[in-house]
Amino acid sequence: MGEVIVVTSGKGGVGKTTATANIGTGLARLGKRVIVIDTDIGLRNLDVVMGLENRIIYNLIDVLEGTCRLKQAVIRDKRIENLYLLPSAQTKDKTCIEPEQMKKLADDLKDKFDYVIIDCPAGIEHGFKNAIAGATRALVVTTPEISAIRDADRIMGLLEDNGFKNIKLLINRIRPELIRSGDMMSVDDVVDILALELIGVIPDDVSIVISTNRGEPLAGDGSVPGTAFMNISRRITGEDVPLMNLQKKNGIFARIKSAIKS
Amino acid sequence: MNLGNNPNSKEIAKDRIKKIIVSDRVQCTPEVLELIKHDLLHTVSKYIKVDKEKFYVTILTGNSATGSPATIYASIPIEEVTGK
Repeated sequence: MGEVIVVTSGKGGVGKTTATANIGTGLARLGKRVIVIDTDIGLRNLDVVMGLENRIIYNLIDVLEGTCRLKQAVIRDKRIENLYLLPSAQTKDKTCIEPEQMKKLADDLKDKFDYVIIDCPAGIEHGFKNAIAGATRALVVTTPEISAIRDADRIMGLLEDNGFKNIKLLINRIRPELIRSGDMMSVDDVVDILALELIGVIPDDVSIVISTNRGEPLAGDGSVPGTAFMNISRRITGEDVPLMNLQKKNGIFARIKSAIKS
Repeated sequence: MNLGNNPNSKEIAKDRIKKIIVSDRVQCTPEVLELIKHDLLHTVSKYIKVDKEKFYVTILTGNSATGSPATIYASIPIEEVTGK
């Protein structure tokens, strides 16, 4: 029986899609059978980040409307064993599917995959409600910026209202030099403010931009961000992986280590 | 924490986001919460020695689905009982 995890944030542009693509890739590299699903109807992006945009024939809407069978819409990533994508529709909009349909789909996919990772669109309305419908675990993505943190807090509240007990925090776009100069909140600061358990921290790194340009997720490629994503995938499976030291100051470890449960 | 004449912008951000989050969560302003915190500490300290460093007060969001209200949650670690 697989796990269904929704990757959400509230705020747009903080890295949900990149996280979904890379965490999915990382889990597949660990030998898990993974499907990533783009639920951003009308503004699809997961296909692009994964470099699979030319392989789309059918999409999520087609599946839910019964226009095609699930197998016809699911794209197998030829570069990474066990990794699959269910793309979104670029036309249509978020109101054309209902949470009950997503719940049914998630239940169906749970039987076929070890991990179902759902990329949630920005916002708190219909798209969000659809994306969380079948999920039992949530990853909240934020950056160390005030607007993103505010939205992450709101999203946390909504997730709790919807019965989510397993909610973890992913802090993206950390810039250690700005943290050192006092112009960016640290990992400790963000964890304290949101009071969420941390699943991982991703540095702001040009190789992530390059990986999107190329359409090649970098999880597990040995680079710093690639390893950071891989570590997150490991922690999702229950492995206890210490945080990488992304900054020279080392106050970070002791506080955060206790936030990571195995 | 030394704000000095030139506070690092991250300290400003931290202060602001904490206040924003409290205001977003409930209709209880940060100032009122501080007063509650102060009075609570004062009252409990009359009877029990409180670990002031670890003492905190926060607001837990309510759940409109289950009807549970937003709740003020106080964590009051005890150092020793002086028993008046």
